[in-house]
Amino acid sequence: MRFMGKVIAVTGGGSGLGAAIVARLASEGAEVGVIDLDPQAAARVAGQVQGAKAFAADVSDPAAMHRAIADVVSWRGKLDGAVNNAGVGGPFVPSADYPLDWWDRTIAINLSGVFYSMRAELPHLIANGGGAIVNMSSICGFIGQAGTAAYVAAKHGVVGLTKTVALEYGAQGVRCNAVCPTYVRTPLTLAELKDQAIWADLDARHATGHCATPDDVAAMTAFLLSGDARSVTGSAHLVDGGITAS
Amino acid sequence: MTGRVQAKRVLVTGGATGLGAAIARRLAEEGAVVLVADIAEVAGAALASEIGGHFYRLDVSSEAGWTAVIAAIARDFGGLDALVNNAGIASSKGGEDIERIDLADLHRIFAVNVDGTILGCKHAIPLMAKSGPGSIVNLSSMAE
Ligand SMILES: NC(=O)c1ccc[n+]([C@@H]2O[C@H](COP(=O)([O-])OP(=O)(O)OC[C@H]3O[C@@H](n4cnc5c(N)ncnc54)[C@H](O)[C@@H]3O)[C@@H](O)[C@H]2O)c1
Repeated sequence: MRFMGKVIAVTGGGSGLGAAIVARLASEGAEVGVIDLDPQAAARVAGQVQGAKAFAADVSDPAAMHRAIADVVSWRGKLDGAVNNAGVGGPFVPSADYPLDWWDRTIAINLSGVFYSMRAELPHLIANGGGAIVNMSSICGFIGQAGTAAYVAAKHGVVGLTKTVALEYGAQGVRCNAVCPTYVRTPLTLAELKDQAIWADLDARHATGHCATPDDVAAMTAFLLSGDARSVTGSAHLVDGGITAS
Repeated sequence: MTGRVQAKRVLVTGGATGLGAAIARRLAEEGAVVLVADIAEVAGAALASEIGGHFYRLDVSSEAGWTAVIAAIARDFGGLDALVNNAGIASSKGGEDIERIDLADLHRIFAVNVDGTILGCKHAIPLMAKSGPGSIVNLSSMAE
């Protein structure tokens, strides 16, 4: 019960990795503000656990994120932690032909969205005497991936933002880390990778012989938010079954 | 806290003091059977008895030492689930300033930190592979 009495916001909590993170944090005693663009998805996930509440916001809208975090704080009186997980995938197209609207949208949600979320969260974490932030990057924050320029650029950007915020707010008791998962079967990836043969091939590329699961990513996220990680900040943590080790 | 490493047989090298001892204590708190290996016999045996584990004398830079300890673990515990290659030393003489480094000292640092880790993997892996899913943690340092 590492999060008894702790209030934690999770963006993109309505699906996939975010939903698994909400469930894991709640199972360890946290009260979770489930923030998502899709209010029904957020309500469904919040309804499945004890002590969670749904909030609707688009992370790419700084004013909306500001309000959503303020709403979480007025719900439970404080903020101890945040998981900035909302993100989108996108088509696989080489850079010269990559659709500009997808570039703008991906950067707005996956990179600026994390920045706007942290701007909304930081004052409350500082007022709380400290706290922990986990930003969802990807193996694409470590390595390139042909066809996904916007996603790779955004996820590398998240790692840099994470290190910078860790340096800026460490003295005020705020830790900031990134989690970098490999391929996980979620609605995001299943929308682009529909063929079962592709997934079998992806499984085989891991030293473990399989892709990660949402629960695997939730376990790392919970560790980084917990007191067990009190000396861990400003770093990016792979949950990748060894796929980037070669 | 219990559960996550319940009943796992975990060998911690350099486990008598410092980080190794903290790792051994935490693993024991979470239910592991901790096998403390060290050259420091008194501190190692004391820690092992405090946490309900077992002590083996081991210089990680000695291949014969590894052969004997792994055989003893197979005999005493029937297998091994995890290895923490923690034993390590820093320079004992005037830091690691390249202009003053002592060659014998350098060789000792490599023997313990590098040979020790590789020998640990070499000798533990066959027993771990026979014991089901396993895990190795190697202690490194700030390297970036
Ligand atoms: N699934 C993978 O293989 C994988 C691998 C590495 C990293 N990631 C990252 O993990 C995060 C979660 O991905 P997932 O696979 O769970 O995806 P998902 O599509 O299952 O869930 C994403 C959630 O974010 C919400 N969301 C999307 N845009 C939003 C916005 N503008 N504002 C607020 N909420 C928004 C969606 O409504 C959805 O509920 C993303 O940042 C993704 O890049 C996923």
